[in-house]
Amino acid sequence: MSSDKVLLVDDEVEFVETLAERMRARGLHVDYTHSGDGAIEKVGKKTYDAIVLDLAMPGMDGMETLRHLIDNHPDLQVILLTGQGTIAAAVEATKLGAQDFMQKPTDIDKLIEKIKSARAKRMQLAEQRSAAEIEDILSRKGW
Amino acid sequence: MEKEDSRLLWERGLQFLGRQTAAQCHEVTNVFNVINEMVGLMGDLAWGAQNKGRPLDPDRLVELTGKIAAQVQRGNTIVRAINQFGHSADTPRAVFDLRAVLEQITFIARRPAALSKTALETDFPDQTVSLENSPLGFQQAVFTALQIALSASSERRRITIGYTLVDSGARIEVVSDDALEHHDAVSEQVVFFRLLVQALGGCVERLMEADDPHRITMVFPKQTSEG
Repeated sequence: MSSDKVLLVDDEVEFVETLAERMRARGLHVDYTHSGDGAIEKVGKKTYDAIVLDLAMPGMDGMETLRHLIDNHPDLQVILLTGQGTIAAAVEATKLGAQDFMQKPTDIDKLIEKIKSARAKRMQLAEQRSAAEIEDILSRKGW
Repeated sequence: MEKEDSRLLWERGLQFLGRQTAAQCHEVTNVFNVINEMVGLMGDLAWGAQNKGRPLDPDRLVELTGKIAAQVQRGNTIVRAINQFGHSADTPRAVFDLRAVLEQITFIARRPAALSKTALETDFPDQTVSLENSPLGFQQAVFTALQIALSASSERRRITIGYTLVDSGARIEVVSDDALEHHDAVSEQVVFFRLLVQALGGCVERLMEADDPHRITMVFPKQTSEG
């Protein structure tokens, strides 16, 4: 079974590097970046099962990054990390298309459960799209 | 002073105190997040040694404990800043050291500046002066000038806070690398800024003038009369 592919996005360097190391030790394939711009660039080049995204970042903040990612990759599964003061924003972000959110400090085991759920959802969406495409081909060919 | 202006100053003062305290608490949460992950990693390494026979690397542990200690120091610095900032509101009028208070508000302002992708720097001379005024109100005036500079700049590069001593007191400057434009988004901030500085007994000397669009300057006296 292939390992979950995760992109971590947070401007807190020590936090994201340590979390990445812990996740890799648990068998996940993990990339990370420290900015919204970096996330957009990486998602453009590689498919991820889940993006773990911090809401409060310099420059392009988490919400703006989320909008850009969802607009261009509708099946992308995004899990938001929030602090105390950004819970309302996290709820708003789930309406925009984020899969879930977690408050910091994070429990890594719970975060990994959410990543596995995100992967399952992404695979389900991919299967649905394949089935729809096959049906479309069959109907156009008249088979 | 008009009753409405007094009320506005009071409300905005409370907002300033509350919002910046909350913002610094968020910074402390970031420190806890890092410590949480590092402690978690140490737990993972210990579990690996106990259950999987993986040898513990002492150098790695030393590295991690050093990083945790550094984060604790970082957290302490932020909590000290929150404490000092909170105590700014103890009295409506006090004698304070200009340089010390400017350093305090610069520390508070660094995160909002960073979120706007702007480097915040200081240009302080060695000499300082004591001002008698509202410590919280004075910090709010400097912070408001900084917010205007952040809002009025389309680019995000660098803002410098500095001061010079004058006979009557001190001139405080917020200087942006980029020209500041007076547009609708900053109008309300500018009105409040002028009101606040005037209420503190100071004057706004320059504010995004056509001949110098990079600068916001205010002058505060060493002492103001009460009331």
